[in-house]
Amino acid sequence: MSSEQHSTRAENQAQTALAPPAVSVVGLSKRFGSALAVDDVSLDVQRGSLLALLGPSGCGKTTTLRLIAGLERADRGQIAVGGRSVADGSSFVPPERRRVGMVFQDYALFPHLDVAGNVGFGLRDRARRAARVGEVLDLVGLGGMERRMPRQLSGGQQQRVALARALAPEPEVLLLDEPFSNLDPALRAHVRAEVREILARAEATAIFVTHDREEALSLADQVAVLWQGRLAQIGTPDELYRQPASLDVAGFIGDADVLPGVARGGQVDCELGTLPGCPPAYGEVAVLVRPEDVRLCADPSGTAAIVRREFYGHDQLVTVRLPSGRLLRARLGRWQSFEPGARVEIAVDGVVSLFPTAGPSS
Amino acid sequence: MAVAPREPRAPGELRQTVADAEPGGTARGQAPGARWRRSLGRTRAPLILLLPSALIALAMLLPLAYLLIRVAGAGQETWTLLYRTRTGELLVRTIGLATLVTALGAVISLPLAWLLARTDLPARRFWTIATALPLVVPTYVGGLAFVSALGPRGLLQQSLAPFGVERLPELYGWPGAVLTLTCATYPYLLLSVRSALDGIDPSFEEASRSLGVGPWQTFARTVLPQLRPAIWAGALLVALYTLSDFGAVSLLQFDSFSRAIYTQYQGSLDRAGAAALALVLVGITTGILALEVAVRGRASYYRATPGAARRVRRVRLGRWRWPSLAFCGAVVGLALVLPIGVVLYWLAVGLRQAPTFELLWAPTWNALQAAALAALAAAAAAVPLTVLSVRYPGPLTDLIERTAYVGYAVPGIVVALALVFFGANYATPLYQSLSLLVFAYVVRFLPQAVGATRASMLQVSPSMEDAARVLGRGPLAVLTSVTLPLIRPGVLAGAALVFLTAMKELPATLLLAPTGYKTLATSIWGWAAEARYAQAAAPSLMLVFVSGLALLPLLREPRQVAPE
Repeated sequence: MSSEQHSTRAENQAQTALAPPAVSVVGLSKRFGSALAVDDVSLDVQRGSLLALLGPSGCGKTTTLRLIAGLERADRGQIAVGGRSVADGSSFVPPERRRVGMVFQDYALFPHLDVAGNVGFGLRDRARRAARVGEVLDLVGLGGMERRMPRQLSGGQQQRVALARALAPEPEVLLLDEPFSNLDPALRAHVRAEVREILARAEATAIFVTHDREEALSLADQVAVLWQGRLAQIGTPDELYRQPASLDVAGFIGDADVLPGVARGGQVDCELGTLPGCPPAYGEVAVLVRPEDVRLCADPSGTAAIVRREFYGHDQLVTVRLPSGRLLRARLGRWQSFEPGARVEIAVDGVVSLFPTAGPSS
Repeated sequence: MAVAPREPRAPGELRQTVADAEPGGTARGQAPGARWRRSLGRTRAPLILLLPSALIALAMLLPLAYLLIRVAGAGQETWTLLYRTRTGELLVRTIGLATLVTALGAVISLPLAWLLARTDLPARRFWTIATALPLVVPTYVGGLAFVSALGPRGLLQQSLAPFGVERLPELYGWPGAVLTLTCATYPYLLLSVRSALDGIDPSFEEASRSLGVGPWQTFARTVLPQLRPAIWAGALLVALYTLSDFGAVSLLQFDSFSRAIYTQYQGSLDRAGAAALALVLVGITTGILALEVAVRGRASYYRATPGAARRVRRVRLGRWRWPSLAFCGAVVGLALVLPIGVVLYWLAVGLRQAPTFELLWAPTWNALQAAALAALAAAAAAVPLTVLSVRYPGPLTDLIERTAYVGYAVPGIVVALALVFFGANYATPLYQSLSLLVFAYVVRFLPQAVGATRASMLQVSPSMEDAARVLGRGPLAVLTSVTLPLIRPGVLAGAALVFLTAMKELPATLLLAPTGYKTLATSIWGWAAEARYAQAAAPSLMLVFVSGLALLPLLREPRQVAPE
């Protein structure tokens, strides 16, 4: 799955190496009152690729999206859509002339218009309207639903209408604001795959905002992590997971525990022994250990003790207490069974991430 | 949106941070309001909204401003006149009347609202409508009914004369004015309190009961505090209505400010004196509005949860059913059946003498015309004001919106007086024209149109308009193709309210209507002032009937537009 994802991205980049990026943002800042919502954010989105803006609530990701759409005015920075500048220090192109499509968190379907009226809302050409509406509805799998009213549709159908409406005028880029947050959790994975399929078929460039790391990692070609208004890191899901730029990003992108250690280049000494670490460092570091890299082995003479076990069915999360009293989590297959209090020996697979710590840590 | 303070984190705290960022934590629990607020104040207000709104706001301020200038320019004798006309006594009487009527209205409305919303009172639907219907009886129709029925040599006294009853308790003055105005205004309090009761989430009460608190205590400790804002809002309406009433106080010979202003104006044609009195009245209403703002600021927020009232468990009245029914019957009997019955009696009397129906059509047509024009103008003015204030809040737009409510503080007689001066001096072509009358109605009743439109507007998610913008429509196209269709119910409700109140309006119509332009209100008042009740009956019934038609759509349960 991930290798396929990779090749799509590589192809896209090869194809569009010469073309301008679909969206280009440079030094974007936006202040609300005293709070800096977006702080000097720069990023490019290549044609045909899918970018996730990931971050906790209040990190400025929705504001970034609204700035690109022209629904907010930036205080500083430039935005170009399809190679055309739409906002810089002096000029501001209003949203209706930016050629962007947007899917809102609450879908924002017009309740007084039927499905065809909604989808055709952005189409200027009356003669081509009905044909295009039918075409886009077929694309999202809602052919024949033209006369339904929004309130007669299920949540998933409403979302597909919103998607069709945004795609109908063939925008340069599609912006999706928390597109899956209003859906039933049971439905979400299914709809996610569907939306991905639709976007691929439409060969659309898209930016979507999410606070759900799984959603971002599994769906996007590129993930931009926003942290307190700043762009903390941008990269492919793999890069982000393997080489997080900071402890904040590392913790946000996946479960992690942190131990103090002393690095000697590509190796680090910590409570778990000497481990291979990356990137190379010297001196005191924070060692980031992913629970899925931790293996436990029952050993009555082991130094660590099981504290608790959370069983999820497909796997389990086991917490152990290290001799120092620190807690460490291990994600294990479901077949291993540990009782609280049992003694274990710990091993770590792969390479741990190292972050030099400023100053002495106590 | 609060941004977490930025501080260096020790590695050990990381796990906590991760838990905070967990999906399903803060982000998903975010209230829609939080998201909406973020959308507000996003871009500058478009000129196509700002310009008309500012012009409307200026127009609303015109009468009051003119009055101020006029009084400021008046000489010493005006102030001597204020002193001579027993202004202090008028003040006490006017404020006393408003206080009494409001208090009595609350005493009637609170139990009534509770009976209708929370008990198994028999025929609840009937009582719900019947108790609100006195709204269609104008105070001067109520006044003429009470005077002709309970006054000296009235119907009651005549029918009791064979039993040697020579005198009934005095009706003129305090008793009559309080009785008439209470009957006419309590529905404002009732409707406000009842809809608040309907909106309270029953789970508060269930929580209270589950914590071991009895039903009465639960009502007093959880329901009543939540009703307070609604009680204040209703009381405010009743008090302002009473202060601005002209019909009932003049028929019942109660000396209040509005009657004194009219007498001063008609009797001596001393316009500066009348203007000075009018300003004192505006001072009272402004004081009451300020008091209300102060009190409401302290009251806890009341939030209606739509659709929550479905699972309300109604209190069983049991033996209390009969006293409760008697209470409802007494209120409806006094406020609705008695006035209508008396008017019907006079109609029968009039028909036996000489049918005068030709005299009915012109006033009916005139009243319909003026009220419809006012409704149209007020609804049209309310739209830009409301969209502007809801979507682009800021110091300037707040100021503009507040001026729309100036009509609340300025009684009809005051607006009329100011416009008479203004028209006679500066706008002679407009003086004695229908447009000036319609303008007076709009100044007076714009708050109702804005209130109803605003309620609709608050239910429209700003993302609807954002979506239309992104789909290629400019601000004006968004207004006409998305916003207007979505707020249509509120705009129509506002127009209906303005129509209803403009139909009944008396003092401004008396002073501003073109010569010979009789409306239902002015002809009823004319006949009633001469005690020719038989002639007043037909226009009264016509007015009640037309007002009732306009009120019916407003009494319907509001339908929720929900996605499911």
